[in-house]
Amino acid sequence: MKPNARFSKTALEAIRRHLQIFGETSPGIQFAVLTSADGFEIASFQAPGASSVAGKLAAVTSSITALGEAATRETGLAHARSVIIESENGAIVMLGIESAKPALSLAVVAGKQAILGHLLWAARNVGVTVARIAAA
Amino acid sequence: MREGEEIKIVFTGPMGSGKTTAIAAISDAIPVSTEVENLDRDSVDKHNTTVGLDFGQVALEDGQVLRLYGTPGQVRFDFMWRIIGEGALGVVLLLDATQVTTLADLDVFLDAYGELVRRQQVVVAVGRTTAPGAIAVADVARRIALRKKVLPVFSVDVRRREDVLLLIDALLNLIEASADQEEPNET
Repeated sequence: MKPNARFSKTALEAIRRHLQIFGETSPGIQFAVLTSADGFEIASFQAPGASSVAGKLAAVTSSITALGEAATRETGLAHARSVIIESENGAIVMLGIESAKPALSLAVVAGKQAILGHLLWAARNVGVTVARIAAA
Repeated sequence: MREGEEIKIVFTGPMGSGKTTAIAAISDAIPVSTEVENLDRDSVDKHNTTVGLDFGQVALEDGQVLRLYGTPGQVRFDFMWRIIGEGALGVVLLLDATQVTTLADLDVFLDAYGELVRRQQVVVAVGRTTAPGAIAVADVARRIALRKKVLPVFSVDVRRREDVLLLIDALLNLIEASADQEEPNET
C-alpha cells in the first residue's frame, strides 16, 4: 500500500485544497509539500512558474526532519518542532506533524518577501489543519 | 593508520539489508538513529526505515576510533549517500540475498561509491544466503568481476557482532593496503 492510499480521496482533496489556499494567500510562498515521514509526497502546492521539485523536496524534508528529531532527542530537548533554513533568496520551514496518523512532515519554501515569523506561524497552522483533516 | 586516528566507514545498501542492525551490533554506545515508520510495505515488508542516517562509534584496542555511518537504502534518498560518503575511507555494502533485485542493487551502490570501489576500499556482505531462493555469494562476486575489480564478498548475519567485526577487519586491511600503494615511501 502506497502512502497516499492511507488517506481517503476526500481527505487528500481537502489537504490539496488547503495547501493551495495557503500558497495563494500567503506572501512569497513558492512551494508547500506535505510528505510522509518516510519521504513520499502526499500533496503539494507549487506557485505558477516555479520548477517542480516536490518529489525531491519530500525526500529531503523527511531526512532533515528526522535529523532534527535525532538532534533534539540526543541532547534531551524532547521533540523537534521545526527546522528553519535561511538563504540569500528566501527560507524553508520544515516541521513534523506528529499528531497525524501516519506521521507527516511539511516543507514550505518562500522567497525573500516572506517574513520568517509569519511563515513559521502559517506553516504550523497548516500542520494543525492537515492533522485534523487526516484524523477525520 | 595511526593511534588516535578517526576512521569514517559507511554502511550502505538497499532498504532492509541490515545497515542499522549491523551498526547497532558493534557500536560502543546506542547509535544515533533516524528511523521512521515505513509506509512502503509493498517494496520491503519492514516496519521501520532509516531516512537520515545512523551513527555509531567503535574504539579499537590499538587506539583507533571508527565512526560508523549508515545511509538510507532507497534511491530517493541518494542525496544522503553523497553527503554521508564525504570523507569516508571505506564502505561496507550490505545486500539481501533473497531479493530479486540483489544484483541490480549491487550495481546501484557500487556506482554510488565508485571512487572507493576504484581504490578497492569496499567490502560486500550478503545476508540471508541460506534462505530458500537466495542468490549465491559467487554470483555476487562474478557481478563485481565484470567491473574488473576484486572485492571481498562475505556471507553474513549482521545480527552477530563477530560477523560485523569480521567485515570491519577486512575493510581496515583493504584501507591499509590502499594507503600503502598510494604512498609507498611512507614509513
